[in-house]
Parts: sequence; structure tokens; C-alpha cells
Amino acid sequence: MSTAGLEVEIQGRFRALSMDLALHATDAPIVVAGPNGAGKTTLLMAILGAETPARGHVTLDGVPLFDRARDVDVPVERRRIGYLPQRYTLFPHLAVLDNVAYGVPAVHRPERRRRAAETLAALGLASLAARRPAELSGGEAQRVALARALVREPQLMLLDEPFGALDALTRTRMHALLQALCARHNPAVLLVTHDVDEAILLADRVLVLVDGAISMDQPVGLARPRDRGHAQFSELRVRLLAELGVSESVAPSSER
Amino acid sequence: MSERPDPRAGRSVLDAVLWPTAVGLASGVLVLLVALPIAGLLLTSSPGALIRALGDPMVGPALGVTASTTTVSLALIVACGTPLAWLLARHRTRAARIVETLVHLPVVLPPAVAGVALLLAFGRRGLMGPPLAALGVGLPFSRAAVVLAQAFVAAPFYVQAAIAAFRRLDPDLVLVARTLGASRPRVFFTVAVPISWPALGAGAALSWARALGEFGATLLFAGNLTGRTQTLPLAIYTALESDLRAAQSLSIVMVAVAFAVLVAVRAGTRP
Repeated sequence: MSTAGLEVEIQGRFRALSMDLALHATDAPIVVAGPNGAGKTTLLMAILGAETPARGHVTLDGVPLFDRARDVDVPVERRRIGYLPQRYTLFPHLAVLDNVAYGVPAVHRPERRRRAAETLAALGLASLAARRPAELSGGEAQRVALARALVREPQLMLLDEPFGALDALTRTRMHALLQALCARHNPAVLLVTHDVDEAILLADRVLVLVDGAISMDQPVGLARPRDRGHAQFSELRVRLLAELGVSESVAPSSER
Repeated sequence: MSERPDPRAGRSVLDAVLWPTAVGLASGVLVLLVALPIAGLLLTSSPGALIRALGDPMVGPALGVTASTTTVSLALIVACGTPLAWLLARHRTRAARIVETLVHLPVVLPPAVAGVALLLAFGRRGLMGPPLAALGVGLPFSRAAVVLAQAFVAAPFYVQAAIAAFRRLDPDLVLVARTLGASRPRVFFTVAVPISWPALGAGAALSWARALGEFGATLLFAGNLTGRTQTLPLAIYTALESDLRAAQSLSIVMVAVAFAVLVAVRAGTRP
């Protein structure tokens, strides 16, 4: 089991952000929840390398990915970080098989396609191989996108509200799939959501991001499968919502 | 005529009669304005006359010059315009906006002005005249000058279409491609260009049609030398002085080509 320590301390275009995490690859992801504007996107873009922060550094597993002071900026394509955004991002001009093969780190096309086919088969998606992305349902598209990211064996997998556009039933099935896949491929998983229930359902650990910093680091020790009706679930939900709500409504003011 | 509303129709005279008539008349005027000249071109000719006129000794060379120059200018526009459009679509800086406006300028520039400007840039006494002369290159009144004139006026049509196409591309798609290990050039060639292909093709067709019809800038900068710089539009202009029928036949050929391009573009850009 791998351990990936993630350290982010940056001054972006809009905000400063600091975070120091030991990400243990587990069978459950770490979830970052936070209100809009808390810095979730800034965080993701900095880790991915999609935007260049004005100052600071990003370190993954001891390896600097970005360090302004030392002039280090590893390009996106060499960071070995998978990314699954909410919007469907399968390449519309490629069949499912070629979508998955796109990221396989092999020189020859037949070898890439062979490994892509293997991965699709392992996920029970083999029947979709020849289809075009436009012919897939939302759930199928996200499953293929997940397979495409994992086939590269990333160190860290970033998911940005990946199931937000799916119906409740499909979302539940995606949760199970995500857990199974992560247990198999073993990347550290950082999932960003503003859905507190989803956070509690999925995570072993929920981080609450407020104003660019982790304001709460909450372990989730509930037994699986988790039940929204369970008393501990509700209690956790209340606690997380309070943390999020406080950040939204109460500004620091002088005590009388 | 009464201004009272007609209770049965429930509509005023303005609604029921005047407005439809006004809209119909206005539309009809414009449609006729476009349709009548085309009809004149087609209806006053006959297949026999068309074929005879196309045997005119001026036609072959003009076709040859036109085919070769428009092919080269389109290749130049696509090869340089696609990366430029990618750059401009992905950067929203002040400099990018200035460059975008500049590249778009030839669309609103009178072709005669374009011809003068090209002469002042690449002519013997122009901006680039001395360095070009030192290299032994004389651009004006050469076939290269035809290409330059065409590229100058036609490039904006392609670049504009390409910028619009690249801006429609989901930025997440580009980002995901890079997380999958693709370098910037690989993303450009395997994601951006293939996905934007229909729009790029439509832009290229429009651009080519504009290059095909180029007249003013070519006349001023490249001249009207048969077999060398005389393109189809210049041949039409020359033929008009001696033989209206030859000019008409060449025009019909160009109408057919333009119509085919338009149909192809509309088919290519249909969502």
C-alpha cells in the first residue's frame, strides 16, 4: 500500500491556499468538502498543474511538482495524476476503446488497444468498446472516463464532483465502482464535492475547506455499507454542515 | 378603409394586411436583387455557347493560375492560421485581442487598399523591398504576389472560424488529455484539431472561395499577365473588354464553384 504525502502551499491568482496531507491509498477516498469559493478549484488546478500559482509549492510524495522558489514546474502530462471532472470528457471523435487507449503508456498502438480492452473487460464495459461517447449514458460515460484515468496507474486520482450530473441510483452504483477500482489500482484518491451526504458515504476522512485552508479534518469510522438513516451518520452530517454553515454566514465580529 | 378592429379576425388592419405586405415587399426586393443577376448570367447563355467560350485561349491559363495560386494560398492560410487560431483562442490577453483584430482587418479593408498596402510592404520601394532585393527576390507581378494577395484577403475567414471552433472546445477535455500523458502538441493534433474538424473545413472552404474571387488586390499588386498572374476574375475583367460571352461563361463557372462551396459549408457546419 502506497503513501502519498501531498503538500500544497500556494498563492494563486485569486487566493492563498495551504494544505498538508498524508494521503494513504486506502479503499476509500479522502473527500474535500467546502462552499463555493473556498478554494476547491484552485486546489485541484494547482495539484494538476493546470494553472501556475504566483508563489508557493506543491509536493507529492516528497517529490516537488511545483516550486516557485526553485523554479520547478513539472508539466501536467508528467505528473501521473488522474483527473475526473463532473462534465463528461470522453473524446467525442474516438470510440470508447480508443478513449481508454489514449492514455496507456505504451509505444505501439496495438499494445495500447490490447491493454485498454483488458481494462474495459475487467470493468464489465467490454460491450461498449466500439461505441462512440455520444451513444453512452451519463453513468457509462463516467465509468469509461474512470477506466481511462486508472489505466495509467496514477499516483493520485482527483475527482471533481464526478457524479454530480448523475441520477441518484447511478450515483450509488458509481460509488461502489469507485471503491472497488481504487482497491484494485490503489491510487490515493482526493474527491471534491459539496454534497455532505456523498462525502460521508464515500470517505474514510472528510476535510472541510474554508477560505483556502483545511478547517476540519474529520475521520469517518462508520461501518459499510453506510446508511443515511443511521444515528451516527446524521450526527456527522450535522457536524459537517455546521462547519460549512459557519463559514458561510458568520463573519468574525467584535464581542460585546 | 376603417381602422376599427375586425371582430371576426380579431386582428387590426395593420396586423392582418399592412405588416405582412411590408415584410413581403422588403424581402422580395432583396431576393430579386440577388436572384436577377444570377438569372441573367445563367438564362442568357446556352450550353453550346458556354462550351465554345470555355475554349477561348485565355481560359486555360487563367484556370491553371487560379488553381495553383488558390491551392498554395489556402495551404499557407491553414498551415499558419490553425496554430495562430489555437493561440488566440486559448489566450485572452490584451495582446491576443489586438492581434485578433489586426488579423480580422482585411475583411473590412477595400481590396484596392489591400493592393496598395501590399505594394508598400513588398514592392521594390516598399518596406521589405531592399532586403528582398538583396536576396534576389522580386515579388510584385509574380505568381507569388498573387498568392500573397489572396492570403491577405482570405486568411481572416479561416482564422475567425478556427478561433470560434477552438473556443467551443471544452477546456476540461484539453486538461484531461494532458493528464493522460499527452504533450501540448499531441493535444493539439489528436484532440483539438480532430474535434474541430468540421468547423475548420467550413472555414477553409469559405477562405478558399474568397481567395478564388480575389480581384482588386491581385490587380494592383500582381498585375494582369496572362498565364502568369491572370486569375479567373482578372480574365473575366479582360474578356469583358472584347467578348461579353467569354466573360459570361467564365462567370458561370465561378458561380457553379461558389454554389458548390456554399452547399458544402452549410452541410459541414450543420450541428
